[in-house]
Amino acid sequence: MGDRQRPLSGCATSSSSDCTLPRLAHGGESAAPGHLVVFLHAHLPYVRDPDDKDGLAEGWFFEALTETYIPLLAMAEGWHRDRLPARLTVSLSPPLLEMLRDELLVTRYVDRTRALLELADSEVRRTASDERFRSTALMNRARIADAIDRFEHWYSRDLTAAFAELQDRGVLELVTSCATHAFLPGFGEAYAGAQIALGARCYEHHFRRRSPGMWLPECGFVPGIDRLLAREAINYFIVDAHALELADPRPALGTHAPIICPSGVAAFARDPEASAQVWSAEVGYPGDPRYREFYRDIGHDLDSGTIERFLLPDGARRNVGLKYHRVTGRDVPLHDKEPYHRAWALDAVNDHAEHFVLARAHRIDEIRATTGRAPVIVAPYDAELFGHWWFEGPEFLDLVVRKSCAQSAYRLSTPSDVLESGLEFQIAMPAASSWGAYGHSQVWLNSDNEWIWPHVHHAAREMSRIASEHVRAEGLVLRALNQLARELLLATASDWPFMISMGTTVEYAESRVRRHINRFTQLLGQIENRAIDEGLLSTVEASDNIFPYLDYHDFAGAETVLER
Amino acid sequence: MVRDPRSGHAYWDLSVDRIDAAVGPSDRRRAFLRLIGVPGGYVLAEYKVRAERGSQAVALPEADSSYLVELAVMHNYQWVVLARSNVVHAPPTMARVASMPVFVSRAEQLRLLAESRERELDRASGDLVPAPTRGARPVERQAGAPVRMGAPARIGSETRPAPAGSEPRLASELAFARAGSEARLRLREPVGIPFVMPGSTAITAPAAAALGALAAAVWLGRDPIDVLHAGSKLASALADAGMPSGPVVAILDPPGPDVAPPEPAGSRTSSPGSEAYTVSESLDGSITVTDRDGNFITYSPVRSAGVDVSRGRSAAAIVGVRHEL
Repeated sequence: MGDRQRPLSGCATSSSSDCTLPRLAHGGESAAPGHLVVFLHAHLPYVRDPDDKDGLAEGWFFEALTETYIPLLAMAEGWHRDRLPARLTVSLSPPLLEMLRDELLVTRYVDRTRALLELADSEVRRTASDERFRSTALMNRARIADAIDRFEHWYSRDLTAAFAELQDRGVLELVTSCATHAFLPGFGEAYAGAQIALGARCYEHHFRRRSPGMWLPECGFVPGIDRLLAREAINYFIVDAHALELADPRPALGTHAPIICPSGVAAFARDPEASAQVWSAEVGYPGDPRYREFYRDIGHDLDSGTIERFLLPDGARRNVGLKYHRVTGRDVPLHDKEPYHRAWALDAVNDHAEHFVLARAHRIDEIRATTGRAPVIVAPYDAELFGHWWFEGPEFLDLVVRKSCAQSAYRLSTPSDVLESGLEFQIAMPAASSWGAYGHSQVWLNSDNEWIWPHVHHAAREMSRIASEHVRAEGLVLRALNQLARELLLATASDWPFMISMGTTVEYAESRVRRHINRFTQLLGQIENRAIDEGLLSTVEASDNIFPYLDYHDFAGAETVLER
Repeated sequence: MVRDPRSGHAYWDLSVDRIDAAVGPSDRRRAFLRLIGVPGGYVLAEYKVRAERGSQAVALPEADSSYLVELAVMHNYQWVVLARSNVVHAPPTMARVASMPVFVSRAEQLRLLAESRERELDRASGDLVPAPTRGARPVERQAGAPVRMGAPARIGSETRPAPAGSEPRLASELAFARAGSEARLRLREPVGIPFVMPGSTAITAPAAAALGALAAAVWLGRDPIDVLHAGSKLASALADAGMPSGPVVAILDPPGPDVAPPEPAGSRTSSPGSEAYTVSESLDGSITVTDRDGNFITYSPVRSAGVDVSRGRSAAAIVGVRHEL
C-alpha cells in the first residue's frame, strides 16, 4: 500500500533534473514539429420513442445519420483508400451508440430515408424546368440515394461496425463519453462515477476494447472527476482553454500542451481560435454567403400535400433536409435568400480549408519558436456541425485533412499519438470549467432550468440508497432496479437543461425530464412497497430500453461531493 | 451548487412538521439562508427565505474559495440550523502563481494512472486489503483453500461511506491471492463475475487502533451462512472463469475480533470472541463503540457533507466523522 500511495512529489524528486523546461526543449522531443488534434464529438440524446413513429426528436437522429455520420465514414474511407496519414478522433456518446444499433430506429431510418428519396425524386421532377434549382435538386437526390445505399449495402445497417473498422485501420481513434451525457459538475461522486463507469462499459460492449479517452459532456470538469476517470483507466479528456489557463500550478506551456492531472489522466485544452473559426456563425466560416442556408427548407416552403409524409403528428411543419438557398448575407431575411450554387460553395470550402490549415501551421511555428518544443493544438467540435448545421462541413473537413497531410508544419494526431510521442508533460490540475457560455455552469443551471436539479439530485440519492440496500436482487426486483437506473440516467442528460436554456424545443426537453422522473418515482415506490407491477415495468422497459447490460449495483455508494 | 466563480445556487426542501417540531410555527417564518466561508466559519451574507422549501441565488464574495450555506432560524435567542449544504469551491478567475514545473514522461504518466486506479478501486471497495482472519474458516472449508478476509487499508478509512454501497465493487474487484502468495488479481477486467456480497458494516477495534495497528473491521454478511454462500459462489465463479488454477483465497471478512455489526437502534453488547464491545446509538444518530477497557469512538452523522447515516435491510453503514478518544 505504501508504494501505491506514494505522494506525487515522488515523481518530481525521483528525476528532478527532468523537471525543468530547458532540458525538455532538447530531450525526448517528438519527431513532429507540432500536432493538430481534430476531435469530433458525436452525440444525440436518446430519442427513441416506440409510441411516436414520426416524432420530431427521432428525426434529429435520422438527419444526423444522413447528413453527418454516413458522410463522415465515407470521407474517412477515402483517406484510407488514398493512403493518407490522416488521424481523426471521434467520440461516440453511449446514447448514440445504443441508438445506432437499435433495431426499431434502424428500421425507421430506412423507411424514413426511402420516403425522403421519393420526395427528392418528386423534387427533381418539379424543378426540371427551373434553372435556379434543378441542379440542387439533383444533388439532393444523389446524396440521399448514396446515404441509403451505403447504409443498407456497404455498412449492412451497422455504422458502429464501420466506425470500428476505420479505427482498426488506424484512421480514427474512437472514444466514449459519459453514459447519458450528464453534466458531471452538477453531481456527486457516486453518480458521476456511475456515469463514467457505464460510459466506459458501453464502449467496451460495442468495440470489445477499452476506450483510450473520454469526452466529458460539455467539457464539464471539476477537480476530482479525473480520479473517477483514472478508476476506469481512461487516459485523457478534453477541457476548455481556461481550465488550463487557470490550472494549478500554472502550466509553463500554456494551453498548447496537455497537462497530466495528479491522478495521471491527461487533460487537453481546446484551442479558442481554431474553435471560433469553425464554430461561430458570426465570425466563423459557416456564415459565408456562399454556403447553404440551414433555416430555409422545403418543409416550410412547399404545400402541405407535397410534404404530407413529413408533417409532425399534430400537422406542424418541420425541416425535411432538402434546401435550395444559400446564406446570401447575414441580415438577409429567409424569404430573400438566393439560390444555392454548389460550385461557389465548393470554392468557399477550398478557401476556408486553406485558411484553416495555414493558420494552424503559422500558429504552431510561432509557439514552437517561443517554447522550443512541438505545440499541440486541439480543435474539438460537435460532429453534427459538419453536414447537418453546416452543409459543406464534411467537404471542409475532408480538405483540411488532405491539405494537412500535404504540409510539414504539423502532423495530424490523436491525443493518444501526442501522449505516445515522446514529449514530457507537466503535472497540474485543471480548473473547474465547461465549454458553455461564460465557461462554467450557467447554461445548465439558470433560472429557466434550475427546477430540474432538486429532482435529479433526489433521484440520484435515492438510487444510491436503494442500490446499496439491494445487494442480491433477483427476478422482478432486479429488473425494476435496473429500469430505475435507466430512468435516472435518461433524466440526467445535459441536453435537457441545455435545450431549456437555449429556448429550443423546451416543451420536449421538459417533458423528457418529467417523464423519466415520474417513472423513476413510480418504480421506486413499487420496489419499496414490494408491489411491482410487471405490466407497467415491461412497458417502461420496452420504451426506455437503453443499456440492456446495465447493472444497478454501479449506482451504489454515497452521493458525496467530489473531492479533489 | 456553484454556477460560476461569483455565484452559487442553493435549494432546500424540508417538511413543515419537522421544522415546527424543532422551532415551532412562529419561528419558522424567521428563516435565513446564511452564506458561510470555509474553513473560517464566518457568516458572509444572509438572505431572508421561506424555511420549508425554496431556492436562492447566492453571490459569492470571492472566487477560488470554499463556502457552504445554512438554513437557520432564530429561536429562543439563538440560531438553530435546520439544514446545512455541502461545501462548494468557487472556481478561480486568476491564473495561479507559476512554480517550478514538474514534467513526466509517458511511462511515468502511466505509472501515475495505474497507481491512481489502484487507489480508486481500493477506495471504492472500502480500502480493503487482505488479512488473515479466523472468520474465514467456513469459507476455507467450502473453497478447499486458505481464505483471507478483507479489512480497510488504514485507520480512518472505515469512516468512509463505502462498505454498504461498495458491495458490488467488492464483488467484482476483490483482491485475490493464491495460497501462500500475495499476488493480487483484479477480476473486474478479465472477467465479469456476477457476484454480490451480502451486507456489510464497518466499525473499529479501538484498542488496537490506539496502538496504531490496522484495526478497522468490515463485516460482509450478518451471519456465517451469508459469508459461506458468498465464498462458495466466489470460488465457483473463479473456477468457471478458469483463473487462477489451484486454490484461491477469497477475501471476505475482517481480521480481529468477531464483533457483530451494530443494530440500527438502541444498545447491545456483542462478545462472540475474546473481546466485547458495546455499541450504542444516540438520538442524534451518532454511534459509539466502546471496548471492555473503556476505550471508545463516536461516529457522528455528517449530514452537512451530503451524506447521512443509512441502514438498509440487509446492510448497515456507519457514516461519520471520528472523534478522537
